[in-house]
Amino acid sequence: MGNQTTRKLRRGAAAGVLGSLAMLVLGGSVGHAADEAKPVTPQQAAFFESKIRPLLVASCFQCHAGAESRGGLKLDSAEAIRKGNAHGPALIPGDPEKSNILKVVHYDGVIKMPPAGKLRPEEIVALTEWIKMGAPWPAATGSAGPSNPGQAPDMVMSPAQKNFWSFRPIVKPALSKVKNSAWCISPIDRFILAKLEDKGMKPAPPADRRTLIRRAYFDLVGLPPSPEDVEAFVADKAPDAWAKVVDKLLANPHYGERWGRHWLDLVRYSDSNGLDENVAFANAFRYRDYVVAAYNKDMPYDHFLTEQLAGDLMSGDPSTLNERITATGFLTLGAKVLAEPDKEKMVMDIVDEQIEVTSKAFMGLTVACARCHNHKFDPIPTKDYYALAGIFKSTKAMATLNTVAMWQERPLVTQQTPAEIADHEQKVKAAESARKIIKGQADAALLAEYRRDADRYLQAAWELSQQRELASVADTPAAPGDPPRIEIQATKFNRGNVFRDTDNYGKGIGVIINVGTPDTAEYDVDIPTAGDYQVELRYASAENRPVHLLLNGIVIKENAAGQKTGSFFPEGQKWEVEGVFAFQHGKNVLKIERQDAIPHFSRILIVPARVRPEGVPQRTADQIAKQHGVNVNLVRHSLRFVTDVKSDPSKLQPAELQAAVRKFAERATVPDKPEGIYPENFRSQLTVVEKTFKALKDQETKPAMAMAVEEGKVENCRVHVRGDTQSLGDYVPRHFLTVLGGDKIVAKEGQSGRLELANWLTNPGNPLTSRVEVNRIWQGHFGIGLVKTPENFGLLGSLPTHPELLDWMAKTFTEQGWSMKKMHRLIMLSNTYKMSSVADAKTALIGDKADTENTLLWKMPRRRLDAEPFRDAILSVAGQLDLTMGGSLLTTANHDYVTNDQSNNSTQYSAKRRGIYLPIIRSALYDMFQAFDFGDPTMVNAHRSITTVAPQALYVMNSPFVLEQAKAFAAQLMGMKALSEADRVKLAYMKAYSRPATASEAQKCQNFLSKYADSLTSGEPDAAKRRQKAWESLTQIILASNEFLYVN
Amino acid sequence: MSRHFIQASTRREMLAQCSAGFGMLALAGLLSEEQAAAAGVYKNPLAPRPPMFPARAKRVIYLFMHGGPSQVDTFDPKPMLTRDSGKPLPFAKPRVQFAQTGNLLKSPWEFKKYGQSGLEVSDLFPYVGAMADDLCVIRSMYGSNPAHGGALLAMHTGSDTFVRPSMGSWITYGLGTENQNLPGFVTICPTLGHGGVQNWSSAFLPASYQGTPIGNASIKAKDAQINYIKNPEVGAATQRMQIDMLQSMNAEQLHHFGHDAQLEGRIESFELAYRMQTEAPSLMDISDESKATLDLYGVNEDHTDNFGRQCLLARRFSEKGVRFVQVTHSYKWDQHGDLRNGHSNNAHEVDKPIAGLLKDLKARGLLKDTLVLWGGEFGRTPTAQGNDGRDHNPHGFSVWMAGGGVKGGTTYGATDDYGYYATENKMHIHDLHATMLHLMGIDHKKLTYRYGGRDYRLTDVAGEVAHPIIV
Repeated sequence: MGNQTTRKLRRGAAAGVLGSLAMLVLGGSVGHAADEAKPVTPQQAAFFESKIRPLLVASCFQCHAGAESRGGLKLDSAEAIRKGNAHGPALIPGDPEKSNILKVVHYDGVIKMPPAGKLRPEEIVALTEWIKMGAPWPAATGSAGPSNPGQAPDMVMSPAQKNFWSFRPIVKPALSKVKNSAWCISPIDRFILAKLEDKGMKPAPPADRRTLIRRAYFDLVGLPPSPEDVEAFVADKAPDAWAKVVDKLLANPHYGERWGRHWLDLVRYSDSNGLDENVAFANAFRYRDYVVAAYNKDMPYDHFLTEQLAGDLMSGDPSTLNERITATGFLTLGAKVLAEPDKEKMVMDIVDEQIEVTSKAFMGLTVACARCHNHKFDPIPTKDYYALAGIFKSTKAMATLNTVAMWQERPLVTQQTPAEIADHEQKVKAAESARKIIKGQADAALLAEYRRDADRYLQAAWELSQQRELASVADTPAAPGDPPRIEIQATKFNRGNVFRDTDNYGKGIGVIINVGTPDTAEYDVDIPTAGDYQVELRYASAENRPVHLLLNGIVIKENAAGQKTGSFFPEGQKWEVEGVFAFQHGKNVLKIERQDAIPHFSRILIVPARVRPEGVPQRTADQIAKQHGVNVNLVRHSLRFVTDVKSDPSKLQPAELQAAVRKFAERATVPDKPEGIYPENFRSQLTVVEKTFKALKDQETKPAMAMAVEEGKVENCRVHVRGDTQSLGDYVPRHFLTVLGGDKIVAKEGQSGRLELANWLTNPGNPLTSRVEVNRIWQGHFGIGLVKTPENFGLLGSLPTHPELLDWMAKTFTEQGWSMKKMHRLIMLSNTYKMSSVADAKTALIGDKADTENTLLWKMPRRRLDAEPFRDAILSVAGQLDLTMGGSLLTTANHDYVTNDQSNNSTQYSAKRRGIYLPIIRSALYDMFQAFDFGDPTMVNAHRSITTVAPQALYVMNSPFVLEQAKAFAAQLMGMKALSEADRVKLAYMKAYSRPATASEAQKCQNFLSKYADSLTSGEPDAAKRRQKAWESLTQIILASNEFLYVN
Repeated sequence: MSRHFIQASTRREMLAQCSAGFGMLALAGLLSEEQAAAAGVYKNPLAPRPPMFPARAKRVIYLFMHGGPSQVDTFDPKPMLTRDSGKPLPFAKPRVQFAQTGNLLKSPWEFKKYGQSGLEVSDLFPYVGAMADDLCVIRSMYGSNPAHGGALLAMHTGSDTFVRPSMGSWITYGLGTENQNLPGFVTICPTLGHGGVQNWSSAFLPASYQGTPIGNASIKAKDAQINYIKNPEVGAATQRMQIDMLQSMNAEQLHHFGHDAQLEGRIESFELAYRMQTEAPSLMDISDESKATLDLYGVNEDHTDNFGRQCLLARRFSEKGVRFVQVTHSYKWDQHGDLRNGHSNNAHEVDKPIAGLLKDLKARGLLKDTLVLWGGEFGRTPTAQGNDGRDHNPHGFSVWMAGGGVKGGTTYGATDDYGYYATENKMHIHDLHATMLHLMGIDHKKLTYRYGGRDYRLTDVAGEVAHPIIV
């Protein structure tokens, strides 16, 4: 798949070269009639398909097939190639010598084809051979590849394909007959037991209650049970004790976090884009929270599915609109090449990703394989792919495609209660008053500094006043009689290619920003009198981006505006004096130019230069301030107070100087916008308050946004021959999978068809949707599904191990209104679920040989904890877990980069919240998740792999996270003063393993504690501390042990 | 190892069980770890595996020049470009370009012939030039993506559109690795942008095959380390005591349940981690190298210290049997402007260390079966951006290989007269990958992994081995 799109670009490149050679056509002899087509032998067909068609496709079709016929020549059919163009046939069957196509590929004439590079010698030999044999051109064969580019390839589905098990209607099967019907307390048990009995096997004995409750907790909520929960269950003699545990867990809000996370794997949930431009999806968390809530309220699966595909198009209670819009984030969460220069490719790549996730998640099919050719294994023609592509292409998922492209977001309706409004107002008031207090204190501090160092400020300001042409005058009001200033808005350039930004970097001021490179902006300046003028630029830039400054076509400064000002945003805007330059009378052109991105310019100031008194050395304001050890901004501000100082203060008599200083100090004020020069401690306090304040204000003015789609320009999509955006075939009406009759339903006029797609999928008659979902639920409880390939129910997927059970559950699922919680209950209350992970001894002898993978379920599979439950369990056992639900921990603003080329991303994982709430950063995944098989969040992940590698052990042995939690766990145990050492060990076991330590284990642990503590004697004189360290070591061992990591 | 355990009898039993598992390794073949586990075998996914046919190279060192070095200023001399500098390009530019460029711009550097082969190398690389007889310069590389992110992904994973395993992952998946105390695939100071982790990720391959980063581009080579390789609080002896206790508890549990491949594998992983913890840091400590060696790499010299250390580490890892080592000279080669200074400085930083690496490998007899690959994610346009810059160009650029069974002192393929498009013996990125796998003794069409219903390859559905460059 990937290669096809790559190759397309390759050919795209060749097309450019061809553009300039378009006048070249195949010359040669005139008027050969096409020969009579002879039947093509299988050998000839094979030769053509393996040698000739790939050659033509790769080297010729870009310009000579389908809609393209450069030089009037097409080479995409037997007829066309024989017809040639105005200059004659491209080939004469059987006569290589006279075939023009061979002349041009030899590269010895004027015309050389293909222009992007000579064919390989063996290709030329093959082409010659083919013409010699009469240029046989077989009709379309097989399901792969269009015979006739420009046309949608037809696909003949065999009865076997159409009748494949997963496409057959679901019929509720009769329950299997079993011998040991006493064991069967659930229909599930009958299906499982029947297969076991067939092989002479027995189910494993029931697991003990401690094992069972630990299993249930990790399965449903992803957390270990507390010792109290365990003991209560062990002691509960009621017949429904187990059902009560299951029901309690299903009602627990942490259920949504555990099962929502399974769903998020499937739909490649992430908080950043990944791929080339790794920018933050700061609103993705709303989708994640939506999923958690949907699971918790047991939203029927058909509804859940529909909301994600078409929530915005559903009719429904307005109060659920936010939820429905947020759900469509499903379609926008994919990784996209946001700097893709080829926009047509970008659109189709995004559509492809949507088809990939939709088909794998909801249908268990790999429809995306049909992008370039009919599906090689499953009955999915390319036409179906483009029928679905039309649906997604008609859906607006991107706000802009311009680099860096932005995905679509939609505002959510605010639904605040009066109490919430009052609370908000209260918070705004509090923030306002905090700001006022800090500013007051900071102003006072600033003024105090000013007055304390008034002598130095006076001196510095005076010196600066003598340097007027180098000091910025932008912030100094023009004195009466000063010559007129020319001030230009940077956004009002007369010529140039840069973007104007007034929303983001230029909010409230207007700036120019880069368009891609090179950037230019030109300003026509009318100068009343020729002479020397001082030029100042105001700009913001977080990095050094020196520009060329040109006046009337001549570079007057090579590295203008090259400073870092602290930020790209308005608060980073600073004036910089560029120098004094000679302007001519009348029109002058001032030009800013850079090969790369420019700083964000807001204003340009041009003022007649003042004359520097003779003998005064040229220095910048910075140099002067530094020399006197004062704040440069305050010095600039002070300029206005030294206008009446007529001579160098340092040359004044002491008494005069004192008077001048006093007067200066009295006049001193705090500048209008002093925030940037406040002492550091005030600045940081203020930043915090401002941030809060801004966030609160944003809440009022800016509605919360959700990543979401809406209807776009509704249109059918054309077949892209071999996935190539430059090789378009027929339009395909928007419809669904043909094999399931989905081609009969065509999307409504004027609508994308997403809602119809969802309705088609959730029709109980659709054989895939319910099978695929119940299989995943089963997988969540047993580690493997009844179909081991949950994302692929096609030919290359696995066959169901228990097809009747799968169908029985699928049917039950839809009959029970698609309730997921009911399915959990059904499964967990079966004896199958309650089996021990240690098999019946005799059965194990058979199973270890005949069914090594335990597909028949003769015992409960032992499972390793996933990354998040492992981490959550460590925090939980250590008493450190914060169970707050929802919200975002991402520290990066929307669209900002989470990583750059040089440094680590700033996202922190120190929060002690559940793993589901930690930011999922593509390309820079949290290292603990990375190590423990979280998987790649860029891809549909229907089943996490399980690997056991050394880096996992290193993490458990040495990571600060585990060490810290081991300490907390130890501190908790040691804090229980009333307990004996043996009891502490028992409690530690209870918490971590849901069982008390045996006497011998307790003894062994105590021995370890003593031995370990003793070994520290030389380095640690304090016995209590040695004991503590020994405990920390033991708790780490417990967290590291297999018994902790695996669930039986 | 026996002194490490408290309960000898249990330990023996455990080891007996484990080794029974290891004995079945050969049978396990290329089963996925889960399949192997399900079949009751603990299979070390990184255990060395024989190549499909006799290999020319046993290991790879990839010297990655992030940003895109210019071919016409380094290894692809273009007299016509010099002659026609300032004139327009006489044929069309690509349909998709990164930015607009102007007229032809000649190289500011002279090319010289080096060695017996007379291979031409520009004045940017005098040290590498001196090794010319070992270099096989491929002048006809081409890809398609003109943006850094896509191009990095294409070069490292073969795809700029989808998430795919990196070539280091594929090679480790195919061959395992020779030293079980070290990772099989390391990447020294990699860039975190432009695809970041994706460039050394195993994607859908099991996580054991992902690259292990040592530091990143913002960390000086001398401070780079493998994550969590050292316990910040306790020394080795104390930690060993702790691991012994842990293993004893694990062994007891295993004894209780009976044979279980998952549990056995995890027990083994702690032993491996402990050994890695001992071996890796000492390997990264270069204080045992002679002054002559340090000088060879330019270590402790101003401009070359950092990259010199990276190259030296690469040799140390390769020498110890690490299968795939990548060294990144991060995002410096992107001279849209300031080409003269930028390329000069960059080349200055890497020239001596790279030549040093080649010499050192040769002196140690390692070069013959170590494949060294040098190159960027794309090249640059022969046309100018401004008056001293070049834009991205994926349509024709140079990489070179050395050692590992390639013909030294040769060039392969060519670009057009100006160095814009690859024209002769065109070598797509897939072809490069196919050739590298071939040198490693792997048929790129047969190294597959089934994921989501399809067998995937590093080379997707393309790739031709460039036989003429092989000795």
